[in-house]
Amino acid sequence: MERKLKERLLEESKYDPGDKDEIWAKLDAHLDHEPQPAPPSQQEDQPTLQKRRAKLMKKIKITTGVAAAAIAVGVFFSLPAGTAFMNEIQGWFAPEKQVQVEVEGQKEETQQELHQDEESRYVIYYDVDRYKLIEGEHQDMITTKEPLPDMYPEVSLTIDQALDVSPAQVAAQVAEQLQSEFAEVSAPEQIQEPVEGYVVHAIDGNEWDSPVTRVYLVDNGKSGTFVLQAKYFLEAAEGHGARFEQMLGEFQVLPE
Amino acid sequence: MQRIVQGDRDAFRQLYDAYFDYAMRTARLVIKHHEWAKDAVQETFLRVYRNSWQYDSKKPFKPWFYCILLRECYRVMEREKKVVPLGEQLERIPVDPKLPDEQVDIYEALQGLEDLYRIPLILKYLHDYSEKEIAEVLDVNQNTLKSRLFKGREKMRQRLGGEQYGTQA
Repeated sequence: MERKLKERLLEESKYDPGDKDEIWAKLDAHLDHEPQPAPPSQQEDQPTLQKRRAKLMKKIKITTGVAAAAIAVGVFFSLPAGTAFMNEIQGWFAPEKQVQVEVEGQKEETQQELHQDEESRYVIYYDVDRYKLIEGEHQDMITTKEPLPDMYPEVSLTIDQALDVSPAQVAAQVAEQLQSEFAEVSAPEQIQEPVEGYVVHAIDGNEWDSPVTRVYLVDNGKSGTFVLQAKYFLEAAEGHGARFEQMLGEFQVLPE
Repeated sequence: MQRIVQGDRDAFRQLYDAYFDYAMRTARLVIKHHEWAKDAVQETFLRVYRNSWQYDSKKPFKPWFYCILLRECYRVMEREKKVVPLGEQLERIPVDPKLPDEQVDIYEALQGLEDLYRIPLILKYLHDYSEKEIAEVLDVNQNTLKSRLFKGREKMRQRLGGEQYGTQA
């Protein structure tokens, strides 16, 4: 019977042999106007020889920077605490790094990029292969690179701040607000991982696509609170949920 | 892929030749509409070209490719759902899988399932993909995938009047 199903699928998936050339012709026409594939940051600069050199120099600078940082870390530990040099090094973050993430029981290497927000005074690394970071006027959002089809609930991690309110107070407010949107809302819980602060967990149902949110509240060091809200759906808890959790582990509040 | 990243059109054509048939057949079955399937395939290859720099050569190519393909299939289906007249949409609503019907053939029974069960079954039986490969393409846990395949077969069996398809494992 399995063979019968396979035969039917092969039969029903037949297409016109001319389709292949027709689609290629359209692709070929598109490619004539396409720039060479490159990361978005490089797409505006299509490489002339001079620009290629500049890029090469940039790469060399980054590589040198990473090597220099490794040396600096060694020096850093040999210096007495509180020196100006140590403070400078403390403020240095690698522009990108490989991070091992455990998703659904399997370990995988991810390429993570630094986002350093000097104005809001925080740092986070995010998985550039899967997500993009959108900087907003009031909040930043990490979401899937490609929009998910409408059938899926929102998947995002937003970073916002509540000024002059403590994490415990915000946690209580968040728990109350979520009551109107979610069937189950947990009481605020004090946590040490993935961030130090509070978490409120909420879920709306037990279906595969039931919306889930976890709101983390972290002291911003200025009597206010960073509000980090992860949104996904039940079945994505071990996927996007685990990835967000790992990214939150890289979240750091920058000192003033 | 490295050559494609450098803009090598011949290398891209080789990749197109190698994957067109799989892509077109998958899109035909997932979307169930010939012209829309062509749109999805064209857009898939365009995205593969544009995003070739993102491909991690340490990982297998197929799951990466099929993730893009399925995403494009969903995108086209969503786009067309918005413009298809209501009458035509109603005709496409899946048949009720609870009622056994001797007239329904195995292909119709499969296409009558929700996407959650239909797409893993298409990948499994059209391409002989392993459960591990399908789980990677769909970014789900292997046990979740097994459960979907089992439930999908079970629903087909009910639709076909109790005939058993495949095994639980």
